[in-house]
Amino acid sequence: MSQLALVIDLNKCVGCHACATNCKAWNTAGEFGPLTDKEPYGKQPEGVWFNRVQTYEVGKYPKTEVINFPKSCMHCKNAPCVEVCPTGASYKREEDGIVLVNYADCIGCKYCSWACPYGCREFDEHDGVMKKCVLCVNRIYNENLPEEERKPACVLACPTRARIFGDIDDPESEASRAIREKHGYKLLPEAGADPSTHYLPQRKVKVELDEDELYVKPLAIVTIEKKITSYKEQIFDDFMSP
Amino acid sequence: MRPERSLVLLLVLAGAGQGIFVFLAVMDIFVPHLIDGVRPAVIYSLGASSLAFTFAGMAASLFHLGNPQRGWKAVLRWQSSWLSREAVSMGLFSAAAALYPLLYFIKAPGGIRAMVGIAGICAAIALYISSAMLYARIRFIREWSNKLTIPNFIIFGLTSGGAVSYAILCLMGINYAALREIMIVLGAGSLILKTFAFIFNKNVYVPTNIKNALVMNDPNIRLMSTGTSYEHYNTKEYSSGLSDAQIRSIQITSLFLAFIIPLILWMAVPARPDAAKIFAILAALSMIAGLLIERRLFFIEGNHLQNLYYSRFRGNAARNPLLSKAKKGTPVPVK
Ligand code: SF4
Ligand code: SF4
Ligand code: SF4
Repeated sequence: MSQLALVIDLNKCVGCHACATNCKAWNTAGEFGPLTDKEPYGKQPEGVWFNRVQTYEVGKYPKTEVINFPKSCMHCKNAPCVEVCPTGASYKREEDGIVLVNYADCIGCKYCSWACPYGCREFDEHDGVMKKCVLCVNRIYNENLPEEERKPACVLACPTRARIFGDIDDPESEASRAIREKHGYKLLPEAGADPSTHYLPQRKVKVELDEDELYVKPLAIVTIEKKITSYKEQIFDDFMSP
Repeated sequence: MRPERSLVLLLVLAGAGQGIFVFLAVMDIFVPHLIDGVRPAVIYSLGASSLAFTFAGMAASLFHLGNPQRGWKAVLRWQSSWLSREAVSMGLFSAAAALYPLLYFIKAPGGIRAMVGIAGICAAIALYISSAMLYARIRFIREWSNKLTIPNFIIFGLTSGGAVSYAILCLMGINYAALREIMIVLGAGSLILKTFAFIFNKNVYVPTNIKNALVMNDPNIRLMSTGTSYEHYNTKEYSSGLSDAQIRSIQITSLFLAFIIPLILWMAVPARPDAAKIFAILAALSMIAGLLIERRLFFIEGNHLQNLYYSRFRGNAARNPLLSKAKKGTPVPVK
């Protein structure tokens, strides 16, 4: 048994939305697309996305921080969306634990989306079927792609490498190690879905300097400032000279 | 949750259709002397209206589906899905409800008709239960997932079916005192149940908040962006957008229209048949209209867990500060 999943490092995510846009680009053009949009260039665009990055502000001004929070299907081990589907269109693959929707069987009753505690399914009004993250099942086994590109599109796009993809049931995988070593956690465990996606917590980053380091620092700043000033003056001189 | 018109119509109309059939079959099978002399009129009129209500509900439900042309596939997963069980029992029930008057028409032996009638009653009850479980299965929506949901579907369905049956019989000039008394009992039962449901929903305590949802221990967490587009499925499907005051006024309207007014009308039904007719029809109309509002309210009150991520979760403290304070130390697991 294996369970493929994403591990998302909230400490690294900078909220650039690259994962979301690359996900949309790959999947809207692939066999799970199109991810229909309504008024994509209008004032109030709407549409289907498999992955969205939400932003929260935490704390009280002036001590606030921003949390960027990417959320896509968690490929739950005990997926309630699969259990409730009346047609069998939603299913969980035995071999790798990926939860998929067979569009040809889906009648668009939306019951699965109600049963998902995380709001990770999006109904496509145009096609009348339920859509959601497919864990890029059409990339990770795709022999037409070079070996190093057989990963989810969102993972490849992430500039800070905040997204790790792997088998969380294999204790030696990169994903399992990250969960173990960096205190990975699941969302809303009390809902009973046992999500496979894990999040790594955001941590406070502090630079601790010893006294002697403090002593050196001002000098360095002064030198840099001087350099900048002289550089500026030089530009100014260049500009002014005929 | 967003109240969807097609589902509201399905629940109210099919629920009443089942109720009408139950009344018909019980009268015909268990207390046959009650309709001696008017049997054909009762069987045809109630049988036809039961079918009409059920099919109207089923037709409305098709508008909910994204791909109604393959709606039949909903029967495939009856082992695991309550929606599938609802579809199966809906099929069985409508078959029995259609067969019943037909058997009388072709003068089939009474035993066979009774068997079909009892099967129909069982299918109707199974249908009530599976419709209710469909909602009760979603454990984290506490307004749906509680012990009142199944009795709610059964008793409201039977009462509305009874109200319509009684109105139809009165219209045909058959004013049964016994039926009126049953309606008063059912109406009072519905009223009591609904009152309990209001109290439960008002005090429901979901031991979670955005801190749990994000696993971030800070009392101040504000949503700044819901991700890429302006609105999307998850910002629209799971909340009604109504304020607490609006919800309260809907609650009161539904309570009066669906339960209090019909109950008063039934209690006041005069002996003169032509006046009784008007009372019974008004009671049935008020009940159906009220139930349409009540079922809409059932959706509106459902507070989905995913709303936490979109700051649309109707918080506990906002609804009942005393209760949430008292229970703060002892969270009950959702599952
Ligand atoms: S996150 Fe939601 S849609 Fe995905 S497997 Fe879990 S319950 Fe199903
Ligand atoms: S919307 Fe489709 S996938 Fe979801 S429960 Fe209904 S049939 Fe199954
Ligand atoms: S795994 Fe694939 S489908 Fe899922 S969010 Fe990432 S890019 Fe999108």
